[in-house]
Amino acid sequence: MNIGFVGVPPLDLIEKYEKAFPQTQWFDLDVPRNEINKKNSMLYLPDTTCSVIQTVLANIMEIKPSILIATSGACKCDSMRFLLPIIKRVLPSTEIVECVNNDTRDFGYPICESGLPLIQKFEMITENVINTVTKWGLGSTTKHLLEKTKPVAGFWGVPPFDFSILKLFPDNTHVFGWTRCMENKTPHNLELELYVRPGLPTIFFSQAFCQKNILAKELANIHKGLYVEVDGAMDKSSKAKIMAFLELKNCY
Amino acid sequence: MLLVDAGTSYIKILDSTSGKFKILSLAEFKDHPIIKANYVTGHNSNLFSEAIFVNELVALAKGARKIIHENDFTVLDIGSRDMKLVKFSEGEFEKCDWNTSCGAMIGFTMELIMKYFNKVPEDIKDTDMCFDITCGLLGITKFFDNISKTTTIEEGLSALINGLSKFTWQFAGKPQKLYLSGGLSENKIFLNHLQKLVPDLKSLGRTVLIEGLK
Repeated sequence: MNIGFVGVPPLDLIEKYEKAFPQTQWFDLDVPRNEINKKNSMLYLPDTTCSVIQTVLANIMEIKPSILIATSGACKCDSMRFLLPIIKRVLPSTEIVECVNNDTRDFGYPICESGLPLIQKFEMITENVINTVTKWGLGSTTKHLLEKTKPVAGFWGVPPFDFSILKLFPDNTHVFGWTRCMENKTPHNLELELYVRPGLPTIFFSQAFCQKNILAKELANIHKGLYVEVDGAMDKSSKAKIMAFLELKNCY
Repeated sequence: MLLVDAGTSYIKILDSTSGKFKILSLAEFKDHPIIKANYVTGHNSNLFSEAIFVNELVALAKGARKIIHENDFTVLDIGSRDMKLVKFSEGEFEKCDWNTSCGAMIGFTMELIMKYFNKVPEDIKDTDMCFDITCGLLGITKFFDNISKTTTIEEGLSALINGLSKFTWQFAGKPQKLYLSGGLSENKIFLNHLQKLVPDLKSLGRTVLIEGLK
């Protein structure tokens, strides 16, 4: 018995399944796993599929969750709606709970505005998706690390497929976009997703073949930031582009 | 001090003490490699493992800043494999971009196809034909599709170069004024085609990145 989830499911749904199956192991199916090759999904998906969606399907095929909580629609991306028929055909024994997250209660985003290394921010935010216990799901030992800092750079976007991109940024990089919505537990909040701090040198990141590229490019134009689109693993030129932007904007 | 811009197809080397400058094709360089340098930038930087590496966009920005005495300008470096863009506004660095996947291989494609058909720039007709392309390699596909019909090789080459020029112009943000750096800034046929779109086009030659290493 295990439960897999995609995106940021509504809190009441998470609580319902946590109570019903208290000892069950949960899997965040958006997260790449070393032992699972996302390319296993290519039997069903075209090459022009975002790496995160490839990862979701490859994880589902390998982990074979007993229950799949699948968020789709404006709170995630529309791709999940079109993945579901494939999942139903490939894994007929999996119980699929299709949902939309319209939660409006703001939990805040102290991790996004802290001075923690960027990669640690993303790890904490993604690990905290299903935490319904405490306000930020953090113990007292870690709360002191979440003092709000003055940012030197910004990262806008979803959690990338390849976290190595996050190592390029200075610690006082604040997080914006859908990842901030994730921490706030309001993944459909477009107003929050569109917000970036005016004047802050910001990288607008999107996975290749994701609809959010439209937002990323537009926001980069408006805020004179750097638009970066990466397909799968980080390439040398994208890395150099980000490092040059941060260096020339005196962020290091 | 030896400063090196180790590009994809050509290695540019400046001895800043003597002022001696030379350009070697990668093939020539591989025959007689010099691996000692003080500062290096470019795609083949790893050939100079002991030198201090400088990010290509940083070298371009710093080099352009030294050469261009204006507050607002855009400089585009086009080599054989990729395009790099740096924009300054009100004397400050504003943005940069680097196109390697789509839009890549522009210089290499032109060199390859001209050599293949044994053509020189004077052979290329100045036409308004233009392939709608976003990459040198995709451009080759359109070129061969078209010359298999009624388009002549010379017309096809003109349409290819016009298409590459148009994509270059779009990548740079459709400017009216543009500084051009890199190998293609010395290619007359490409400059002629690009000038139709950018009235105020200024060529800086192949040493801008090296200038940024000084």
